Formats: sequence, structure tokens, C-alpha cells
Amino acid sequence: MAAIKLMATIYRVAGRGAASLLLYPIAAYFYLGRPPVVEASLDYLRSLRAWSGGAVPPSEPQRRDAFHHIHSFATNLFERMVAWGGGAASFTFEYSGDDHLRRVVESGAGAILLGAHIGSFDMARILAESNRVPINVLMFTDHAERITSFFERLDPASKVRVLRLDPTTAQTGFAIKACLERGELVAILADRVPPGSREQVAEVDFLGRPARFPLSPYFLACTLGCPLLTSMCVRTGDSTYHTAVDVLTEGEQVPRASREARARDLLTQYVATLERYCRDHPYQWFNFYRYWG
Amino acid sequence: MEAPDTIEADIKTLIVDALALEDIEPPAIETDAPLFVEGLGLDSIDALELAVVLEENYGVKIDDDPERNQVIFASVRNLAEFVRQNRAK
Repeated sequence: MAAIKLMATIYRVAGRGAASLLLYPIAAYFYLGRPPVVEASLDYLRSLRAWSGGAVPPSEPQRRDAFHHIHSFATNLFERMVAWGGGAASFTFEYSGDDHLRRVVESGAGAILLGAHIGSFDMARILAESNRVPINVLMFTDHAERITSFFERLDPASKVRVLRLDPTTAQTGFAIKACLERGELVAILADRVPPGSREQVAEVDFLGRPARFPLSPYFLACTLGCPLLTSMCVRTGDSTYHTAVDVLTEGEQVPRASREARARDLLTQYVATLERYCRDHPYQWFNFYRYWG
Repeated sequence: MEAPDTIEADIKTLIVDALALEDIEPPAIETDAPLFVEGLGLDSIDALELAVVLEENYGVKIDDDPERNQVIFASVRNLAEFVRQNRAK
């Protein structure tokens, strides 16, 4: 936290270029001080390389690649902070598939938007806000209201709300249903199983190794019959971000008997999307823990 | 005037059909037993599905008021009471 405050101060006083230089010592701190982070990074990069047949990364991952990976994460956090601080105008945002989102918003049907800890989901939020539709971010947190008010302080017109994921009651499902009925978006980062959750998970091959993913987002979409979209936002160059929206399903109520098969099928499509992003943007996968268990 | 029990019986059938509970005959569901976690052990997606089916069948509207839902979904008896008071069809 001290590092973030220092960086914010330098950013205000000396500008973005100076502040971004600090990203090197910050990345070095994690690189030297947190061996599990480096291990997780190398584990991921090796899996990616094996899965891609040696194409990405093009040579056997070394510790310097882990440093590059961590630095890329630090850059991401820093630029997110700049964007929050009202600096969004200094970035270029490019979009593809945003017509899908616009169509869903205009139909008033609401939609579930699946993201991941890839690139900057937060930048994708700007896309939703530009459509002037509330976006409800499902989070496993006890601080939902505080996070919501944080966004409201940054921007009084903020349409971001945090929905608390409570695995112990049926309430989360009803809250999601109500958001969709108001024609809003519900965003879920679907690449992690929340700790301690009792929700149904499925094991699917990700980069050639079995990994656990939540099934609830797909069950929700099949039960409520709402559209299910993926939304991934990656950094494609200096101060440039690209958000791509893809349709997994336009929304159909799936009969119970075939629902689990359909949910697994949608999950497989989501994981294939993750793999594609890892291949194209190898250093923007931001899960720095033992992902494969 | 409907017999007060009918809605209870209908809801039990809806639960079994909608949630495809195999091996359970609708009358075997206890009117006052908890439906979720204990009791039938339904999960949150089941609750949602039940809500969708009740809305379709009775034209009721189930909101996201946590305290109210906790009461409504506590048992078949409470579901039936809610339907009796709010049904549009």
C-alpha cells in the first residue's frame, strides 16, 4: 500500500512517465520477495509453451520472463489507477464486438458478461458505462458497499455496483435475476473458484492440464434464459487497450435434463477463449497462484 | 373458492417436476419442512428455477428482497401462502 501511495504522489507531482519508472522496483520487490509468485508465473508460462507446441513463449521460460510477467501486472494496476483518477482520456480504447453489447442493452434483456483475470477487466467497464447501462460486478467480498461507494466517489455518475457473492444463501441468484430483469449487465470473473464456496465446479483442460472452474454462471444463463457474453480487455500497446465482446449464447432457457451438458459446453467455449487470449497476450494472465491446484 | 390445500399440493408437484427430483413423490414433501440446505437440500440455482416456474405458473413477482425471500422460500406452506396473496392467475 505504501508503494501505491508513493506512486500516486509521484504521479501527481512529476507525471505519469516518472511514476511508471517506479514499476521496476515494485516488480523487483515481488520478484525477489515472493518466490511463490515467480513459481506460479513460470508454471503458467511452461504450461502455455507446452500447450502451444513451443510457440508461446518461443523459448523455455526463464526467471526473467517471470519478471516481465510481474512487471506487466504492475503496469496494469498502475494504469488502472490512472484511469480511475480521471485519466481515462489519456488512453486509447479500441473495441470489437461491442455491437453485440449494444444490441443486448437496447433489447432491455440484460446479460451476463464473463470476464477473467486477464488484462484489465476494469477497462472493459468503461465500455459498459459508455452504453449508459448499470453494470453489477459479482464479487466474493464482505465490502460490496464500500467498493461501490469508492466508484461513486471517483465518478458520481458511476454505473458500477458491486454484488456480493454469498455462497451460503440463495440470495445472490435472486439479486442477479433482479438486475437482469431491469435490463442491466452482471459481470462475473469466471476463471476462479471463490474460496470456501459450495458452488458446483467442473474440471476442464486449460492449457493442457485439468483446472477447476465454476459452473454457476452457465447454470444461471440456462435457467434464466439470458444472453451470455465474454468480455476481455487487453493492453495492446502504449496506453492502448482493446476490448472484445463475444457471444457464447444469445439466451435460451435450457430444459433441466440437458442443462448440465449445455453448461459444460458453454464452459468449454469460455476456456477456449481464455486459451486464445493467453496465446495472443501471454503476459496478461494475472493469476499468480497455483492455478492448477 | 379453492380448497386451501390445493396450492400446497400443486406447488409440491411443481417442485418435483421443475427440479426433476427423482425418487420423490410430491405428497412425500413435508409442507412445513425447510426446502433449502436442510430438508430437500436444494441449492441457489434450484431456488432461482423454482422462482421462475412460480412466476410463470401463478403470475407472481419474486423480487430480490433477501428477508422476504427467506420467508417465502422457507417451506411449501410459506410458498403457498405467498402465491395465495399475490397470484395474478
